[in-house]
Amino acid sequence: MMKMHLLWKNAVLALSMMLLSVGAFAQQHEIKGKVIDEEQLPIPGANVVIKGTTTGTITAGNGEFTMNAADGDVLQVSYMGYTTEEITVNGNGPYNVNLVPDMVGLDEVVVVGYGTMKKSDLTGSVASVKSEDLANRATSDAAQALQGKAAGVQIITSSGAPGAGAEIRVRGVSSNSGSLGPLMIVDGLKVDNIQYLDPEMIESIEVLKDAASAAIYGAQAGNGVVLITTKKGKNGGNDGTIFYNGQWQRSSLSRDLEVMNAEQYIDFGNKMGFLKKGWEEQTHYDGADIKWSDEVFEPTWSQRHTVGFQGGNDRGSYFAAINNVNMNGIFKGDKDVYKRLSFQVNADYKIKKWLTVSTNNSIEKWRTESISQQSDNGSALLAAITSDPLFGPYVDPDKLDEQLTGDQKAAIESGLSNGEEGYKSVLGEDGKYYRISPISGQTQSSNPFIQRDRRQGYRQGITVRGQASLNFKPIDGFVYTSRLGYRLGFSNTHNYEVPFVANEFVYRNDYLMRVEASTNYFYQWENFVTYSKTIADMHDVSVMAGMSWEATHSDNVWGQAQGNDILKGYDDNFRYLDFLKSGDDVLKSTGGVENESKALAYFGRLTYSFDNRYSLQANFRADAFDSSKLGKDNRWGKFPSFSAGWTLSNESFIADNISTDILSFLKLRASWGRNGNINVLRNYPYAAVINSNNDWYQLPGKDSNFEQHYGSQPNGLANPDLVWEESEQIDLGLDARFLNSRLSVGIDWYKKTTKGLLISITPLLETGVSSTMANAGEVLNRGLEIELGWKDKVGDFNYSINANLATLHNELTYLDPTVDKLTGTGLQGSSITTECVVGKPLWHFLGFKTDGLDEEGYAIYRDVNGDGKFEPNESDMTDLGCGLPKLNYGITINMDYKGFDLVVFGTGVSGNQILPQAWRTDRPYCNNYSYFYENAYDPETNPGGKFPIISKKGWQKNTFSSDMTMFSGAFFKIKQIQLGYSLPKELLSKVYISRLRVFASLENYFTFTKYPGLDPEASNANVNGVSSSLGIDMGTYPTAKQVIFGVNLTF
Amino acid sequence: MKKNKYLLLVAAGALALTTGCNQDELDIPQKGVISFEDFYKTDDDAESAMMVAYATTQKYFSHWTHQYNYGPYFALTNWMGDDIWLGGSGTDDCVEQRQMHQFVYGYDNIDIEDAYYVLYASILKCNYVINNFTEERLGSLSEVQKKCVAEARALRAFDHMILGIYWGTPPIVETVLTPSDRPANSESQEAVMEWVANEAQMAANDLPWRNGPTDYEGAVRVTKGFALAVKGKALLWKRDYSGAKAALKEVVESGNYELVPSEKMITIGHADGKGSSEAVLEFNYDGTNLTGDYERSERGGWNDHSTFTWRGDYVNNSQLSDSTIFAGGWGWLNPAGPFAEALIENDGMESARRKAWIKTYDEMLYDLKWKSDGDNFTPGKTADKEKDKKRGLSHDIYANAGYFTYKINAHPSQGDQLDDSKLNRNASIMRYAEVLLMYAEACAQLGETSGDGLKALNDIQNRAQSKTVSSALSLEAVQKEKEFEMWLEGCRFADLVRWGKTETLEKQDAYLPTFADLINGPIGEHANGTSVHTGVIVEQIGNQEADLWVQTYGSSLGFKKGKHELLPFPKRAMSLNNALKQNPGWE
Repeated sequence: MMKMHLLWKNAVLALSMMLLSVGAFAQQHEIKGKVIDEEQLPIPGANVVIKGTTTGTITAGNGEFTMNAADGDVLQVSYMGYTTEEITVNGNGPYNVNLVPDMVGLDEVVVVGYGTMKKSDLTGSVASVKSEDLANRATSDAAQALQGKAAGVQIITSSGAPGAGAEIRVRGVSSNSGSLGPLMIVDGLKVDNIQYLDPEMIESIEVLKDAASAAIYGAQAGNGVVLITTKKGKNGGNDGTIFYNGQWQRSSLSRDLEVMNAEQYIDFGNKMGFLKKGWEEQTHYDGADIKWSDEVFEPTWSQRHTVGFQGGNDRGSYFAAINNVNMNGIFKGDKDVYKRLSFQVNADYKIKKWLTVSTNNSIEKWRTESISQQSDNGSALLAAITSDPLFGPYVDPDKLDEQLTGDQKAAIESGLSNGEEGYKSVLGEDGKYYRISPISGQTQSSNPFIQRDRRQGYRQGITVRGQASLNFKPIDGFVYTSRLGYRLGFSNTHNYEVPFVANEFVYRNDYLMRVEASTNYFYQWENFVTYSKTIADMHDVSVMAGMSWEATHSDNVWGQAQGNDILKGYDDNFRYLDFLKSGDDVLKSTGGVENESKALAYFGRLTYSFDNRYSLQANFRADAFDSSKLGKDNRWGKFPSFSAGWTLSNESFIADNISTDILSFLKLRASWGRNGNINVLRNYPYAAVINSNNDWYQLPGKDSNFEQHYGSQPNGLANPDLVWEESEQIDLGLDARFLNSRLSVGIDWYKKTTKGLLISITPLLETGVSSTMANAGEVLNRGLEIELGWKDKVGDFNYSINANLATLHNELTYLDPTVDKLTGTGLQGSSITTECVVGKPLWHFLGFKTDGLDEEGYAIYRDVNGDGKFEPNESDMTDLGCGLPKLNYGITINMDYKGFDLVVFGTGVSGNQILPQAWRTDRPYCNNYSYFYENAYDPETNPGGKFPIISKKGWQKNTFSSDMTMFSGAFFKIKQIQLGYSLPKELLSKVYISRLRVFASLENYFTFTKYPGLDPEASNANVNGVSSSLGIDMGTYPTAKQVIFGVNLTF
Repeated sequence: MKKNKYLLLVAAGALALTTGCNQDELDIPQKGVISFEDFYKTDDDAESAMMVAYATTQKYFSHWTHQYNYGPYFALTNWMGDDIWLGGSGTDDCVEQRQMHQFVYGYDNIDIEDAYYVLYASILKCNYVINNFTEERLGSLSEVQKKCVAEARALRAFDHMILGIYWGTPPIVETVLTPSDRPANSESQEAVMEWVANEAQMAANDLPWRNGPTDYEGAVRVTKGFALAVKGKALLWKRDYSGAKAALKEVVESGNYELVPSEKMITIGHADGKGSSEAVLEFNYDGTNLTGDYERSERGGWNDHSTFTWRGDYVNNSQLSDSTIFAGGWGWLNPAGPFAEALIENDGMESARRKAWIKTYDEMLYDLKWKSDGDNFTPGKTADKEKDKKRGLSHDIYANAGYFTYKINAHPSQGDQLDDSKLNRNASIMRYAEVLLMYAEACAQLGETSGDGLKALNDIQNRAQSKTVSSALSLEAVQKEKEFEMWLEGCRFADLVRWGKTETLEKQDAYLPTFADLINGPIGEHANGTSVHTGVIVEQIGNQEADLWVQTYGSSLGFKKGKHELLPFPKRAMSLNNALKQNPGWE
């Protein structure tokens, strides 16, 4: 037995020596070369192997290699994440090998929860977006940069205002709450937003879309998980790099505001009857035709600069960058600004062979000022739309008597009890008074500039986010990671309002000043072990298990003062609580509370793959939350998932029969998992407690008849059974690459069912309680996601096209029988509301359907309830569509040719409806989109008009509560057309620059839509963060279009 | 070396376990609350729970957040009356509210739903007191606890009575409901009123009287007098006139209430009249030292105030400097022309009541002080004043016949309103005048023509300085008197329905004039160079607004017998409670 064994051993040894010596017969000589990446940076650690042998080497820190080879040998150069290049040896070199990133590379590593995986091993649905796709965009918001780049990931822009963060929706909407966004993790740290993170700092964004991938995050993963990895220093040997990226952006209104001009408006006023004979003299109209969009919007310049350093060697790496964003919105004046200074520093170091430490940190200082939008009770943006075109923004100083309104005159005459300061805000620029139109000015709109100036406020703060971790590798294949993540936040809000009068709706009688200060911290400590082993070359097994502890703490205080004369002085430098007057006339109030929340979790993952053909994965997480979310008995939740993959292309029946030139890769995936949405629960929603002394009634006491006597009461109806929302999701996927990997295809189909939808239900009116929370609904989201990529090169011309498309079927499938429907956002002056009923998408619009016009030009309402009555009533209201798009898509085209590069990127949605809510029947004097005027029926001028005749009866509330005022929200925007030029290296090396790229870009320049409003994209009257107002446009801040000039510089 | 590695691993693992096991860390006490078990025990708790009932009723009656524009209780009890017109900025203003006045509302009308809801919200807070302070729960009740329970019981009876008057057969809710409860309609309006009367009597047994006409506390919290007045009112609706008479008689004879003298009529409904000798129950509020939009809206009745107060941009309020009137509201509420004329006809121009209730346009022009009057102001018409364009109307006023509300809008001189955010107003729920008139009616309904009933009626007439003083008691005389005396105090529509006198309601808003001053004129047509103030009714402006509503609604305009006697149960109540049966005509 023993002898036999030895014999075998010797035979194998002899055989291999024979094989190895084959190469030795040819003439070997030393060759040299260098491996560089697409940015001409050296790639250390790349494999250089003579094809067909195991002879090879690894590149050094400067990317260079030296080895022995014979002429005619083929060198295979490979590096993870890059395509493998082959060169034939002919002479000593040096050989410069240029590796390009493998965009559909199977060796690409993607980040998953608590680890990384090779893309080829994935069994779930993970979308991955790399830094190249995020670079040089106009936006400073990481979420915004994700738009259109991954199928099934929708980015919702509620506002185009500077610093307004975009929201991410992964695979539809599955909650009725405001908590619809995914869990966001940056370098392992849970964050509340990613607005602070400049796209320049990001290496990759992974979106865990299916439940199996997300299940490792358990009760927080119900809306998907977004994992962000910030940049890491590249191993450049002994040499680091310095880079600078700069952008100068000119922003302007992206679409014309098409509202009635003076001629149209006057005709409209006559027909509606509010402009009566002699109005011109009464109102002192001078024939003006004011284009409010020209008055209100102005092009602005914004800047963004990033300077950074990076480098690394075999032991460690560093990345440090400072980023400065200074944005000024397109609303005239500097009242809408966003300033951010952020500093990112990432470093890791291998202390021992078995011990690595790393840390990632970001320090952010921010400040925003914003103006009002999205309110049907008047806002600066709404006023820009609804102000009539007859009267301009300013009163002519020579015509005060004619042009000031009675209210203004009275205000000016009386002053305020404490003097001139009081009515300052009716003063416009250069001391001119803002003009209140005697017609539309008497509404909530008044004058957009008054709306802008009525309050002055800003928010600012500092946030420090980061993590430090320790990787301990005592034995091969075993890693223990301990990671401490932290976030420290300090922010202040200042609000200052002055007395002024515009009209009966828009006024303020006294001063109000409010200051808020908030400090908060969050930390998480995670410990997990991973053990991977390959058994008999065929069985790859990996086990991960760990725990997580997290705690959030916040402490807020606020102080407020109100009164006719509250400050010791009224210049800017007095607007602080320190300078408040004392005395009874200054009504001061204060508040503040300390809050904390905590969570504990255990989690684990088991992955097994066999022969690169079959892979299986199981995840499990158990989450426990503190008593502010769940009662003790409901504290724990368990979230399992399972997934499997089958790589058909590695099966011999395919590999042997189909050339990789045709079918390069084919894999099928399937997964099932369960996740939760815990964010819907906060502030002890389940508890029945007594709110102590939360109300009062005045009764006679010692000193007066009006002493406050306090009372306590239950906080509502208790629901001890309340739990999180829970989703179960099935995902079936296919990944394939064809034609030598030039064509890549990824298809996913998913079905996500969310149970226990947390709903604020109206209990019976007879309970006397207006609302209570209950797990009372079920939502289905279902869709198909397709990603297509094509990549090729023709000579020096490289190009790629990537497209993605996702469909969404969203439906409320169950609602507790005590609730027949959920009523969402109702509008003033219209009967349209959004609602949820079983069998329909969440928050669809409910209104009247029309069937054209009758002979007189009035709308014919569809008799939905079948009562045979012409006049519609409540039960004739029906589904008019939904603000949630049924289709989202994006397409990115990259081209480069001899230093020139071009990126064209577009994205769009369709299948959604938008309701523009500007004009209302109860304020008929407001201006309106000219669409309505131009399409209005008129027996003489427009007999084919689709919209009712202009008259009180024609333009009545029902008309503006019908599908005639709803529009398709479909749009396609070309978000980016960027042309860049990289200067030749030879030229640059003389001035010690390794790379210089200049570019010009058009962002948001072209929008294709039928929507008449300013921006179909930003049409989400996000009232208190609730999803029920998606698709309502109550005067939104439009996303601006931008011309960008930029430079990328590397030393 | 190797040892160290494993030590580290063990240490880290142990640390991980320690944090992991400490689940007690997850128990975080809620701030600012106490547990249910620790409450509803002591006398202080009972008082505390009762304060909530008062506060909720006060706040919700005058403000509920569905709409910004009205107080639900005032809306419910006044807007359907024939004694007011809704004007505002014109025909496009106060839309849902006007629907009620014109009887073209649907069962989804938000005002109706809000009124229904706020009454049950008040009931809930009463039930917290009544259900928790029971002998079963606490063994025995102290005197204080019994009194609080009785206060809650009387207030709950009142809420049910209002529900019964307007909806006929509302569910009676005696316990704190759970979301799965489905309370059904009462058997009949009569049954509701009987229940209310019994409950009110039960409450009265444990309640003290108001401690004489000057007692303030007894005016602003529930007393025996209030409970008996509720009982009397409920029995009046039950048409049990002798029962009503008996209950009301107790109140009248208690000696704890007196009509304020004629010269003090001007204080009725105003800050100077708070807790007067006439107050049976009013919700107490002084906002002088309070701030915040919610305070003024919720407790001070700011919405109602804005509704009553003359429309700031139509009445030339910037030029008004009279401290007896706070201008700058929405001007929704105008005295109906026929009402104003009937009041003047009945009372005479000089009656204290007429002067306290309404102003004519001439009074507005010449008896109020305008800025152009300077310091030397004397009331009365002068040639200068007649030509002064800076006083009076700056705009025509819709739904107005030249009379202006004065009874209920804010009088700064009386301390009603210091500025826009500081209101100082008690909301009256029951006034002694109503008790007297109900008593007189009960007597008249029983066929009495003299005696106590006539005295009660005469007391009201004499106090008003009306030129009409009845020599014999009759139902007609009481009805007429109540129309005038209780104007804007929530009686008119319900009385008309109860008396079956709905003719005026059937024609409601078939004609609504516009009032203009020719010196300024409505835009364009009437500025005919008149050089002195001339207030006129302009019947036709533009598209004939005087009978616009007939054109708009045709025959559906106005009260329909057999349908509009009762309000429909609100749509949301119907959709949430399948045990609820809709009222006739609304199924």
